[in-house]
Amino acid sequence: MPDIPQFDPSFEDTSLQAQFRILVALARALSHGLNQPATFLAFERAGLSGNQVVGHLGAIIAAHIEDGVEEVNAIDGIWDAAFAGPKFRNTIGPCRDILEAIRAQSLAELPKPNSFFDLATANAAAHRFTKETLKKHGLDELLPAEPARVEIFADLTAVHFCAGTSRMAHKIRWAYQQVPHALEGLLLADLILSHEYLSHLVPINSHLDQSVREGWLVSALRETFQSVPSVPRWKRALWVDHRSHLYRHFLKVQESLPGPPSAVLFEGFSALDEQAIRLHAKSTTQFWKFTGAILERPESQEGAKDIAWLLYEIVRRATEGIDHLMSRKHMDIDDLVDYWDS
Amino acid sequence: MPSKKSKNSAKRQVKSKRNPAPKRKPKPASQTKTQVRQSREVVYAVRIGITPTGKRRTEAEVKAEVAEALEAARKKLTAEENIGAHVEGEGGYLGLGVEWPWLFVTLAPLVGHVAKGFVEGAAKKMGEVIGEKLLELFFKELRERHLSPGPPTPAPGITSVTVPTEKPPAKSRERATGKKGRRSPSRR
Repeated sequence: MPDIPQFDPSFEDTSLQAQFRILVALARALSHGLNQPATFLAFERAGLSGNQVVGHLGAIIAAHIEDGVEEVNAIDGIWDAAFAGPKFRNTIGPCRDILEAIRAQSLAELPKPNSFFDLATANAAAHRFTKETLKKHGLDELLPAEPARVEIFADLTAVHFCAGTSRMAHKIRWAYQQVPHALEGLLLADLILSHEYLSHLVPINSHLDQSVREGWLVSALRETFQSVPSVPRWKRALWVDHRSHLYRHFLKVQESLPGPPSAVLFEGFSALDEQAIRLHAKSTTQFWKFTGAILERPESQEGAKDIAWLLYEIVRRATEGIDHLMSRKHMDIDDLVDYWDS
Repeated sequence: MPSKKSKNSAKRQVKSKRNPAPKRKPKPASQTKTQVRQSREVVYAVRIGITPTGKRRTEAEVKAEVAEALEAARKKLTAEENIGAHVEGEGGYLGLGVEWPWLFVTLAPLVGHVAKGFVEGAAKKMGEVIGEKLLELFFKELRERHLSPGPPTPAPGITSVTVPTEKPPAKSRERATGKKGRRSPSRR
């Protein structure tokens, strides 16, 4: 049985825990509702999408939290505000029934004592998913045998990434942030934690940069879960919105910084994502051969620079870059560097 | 005059005729799928926020400066105080003026099972004291590098860490192959 998440001292405040429990109750109810086949049709007929419903509730709860939420029973007011808003106000028929059912279920979830256990379940699922993915390509030895411990910390100024990983302590820290996309984060917890495993715990080289961890490896994860039936369609769609909300938030933080601009990238070189999609679509085997070569690259700053340079070349060479990767029998980073550097 | 590229490729062809390309050496165990890492007991663990200030720097540059600062601080300990210490950034670097959380740990000395009782007692206590001293020295080094450390907060539950085994630094590819430095990829 997975371990219940630990709390960082910053998350010991009971009102923060109450806010988190509200988010969990909403996430559970929404997840249940969105998993029903009839839900999408009903939402579509009312001119709504699953993402819009999640986004609307996320924005309302963030606004309530900003005004001060100390008790879990504040959830009633959140739902009232949601139904008073333009998105839900005029809903009728099956769409209204489904929203009411989600509301009722979220209220029923609140008294359950194990709110924090959801992150532990998501963590176990993420570890399993990452292992299965890597196993298909003979890379599962890279994943630590046991799931990492999850710790929740409060990031009330929301200046950190939504999760952070410590390789040496084998721990993933989940940031509780009072932002509109926090609800999305909880709904996608298993995928976000899978990203922490694949991008931050699996690669041997700790020096890999943003282009690898937040670019290429995020594409690897997304292309994988887009093609497996175990990940429901609504999650795949929500992932796209969530990444864009994170990016916007990242830009907002960047813009608010004093002094000279920082050389910080969100997900590496632009167009790297398109190249990853192209290679994956042409051959999953070649894609994972190359990805495996990155993941197995030994610890070294020079090695990380080589990979960053290779990814840059893959973008720069466009179709020729992909064609060359397609033609390779053995995918060795040194050979690739030598080939393109000659 | 032949282009540099064709000259190089002609050289390569001649070379390959005379000396067939050597087979790549098998990678040492530490560089293959199961990199050698070891679990070490932690005697002192705190979390610190490091806020980079001053000139514009990349994540890799900040990471290298933090590692340098720790090494410089360790050198200021006496031989008797020499203790294993590691730092690791948690989450990503968001830029100048934003606090980046780091984990700082000092390790118990590696001793045989006979001395285990000793480690659990007096040495552990001593390790904590040295850990605090090292942290102070580390903070000083950080400040000198325009990396402003926040107050340390306890990192509960971290009793052991997995760290790579120490090994001599690998020769850089450029130096090994005699190549000139590669153009750094431009970034958007």
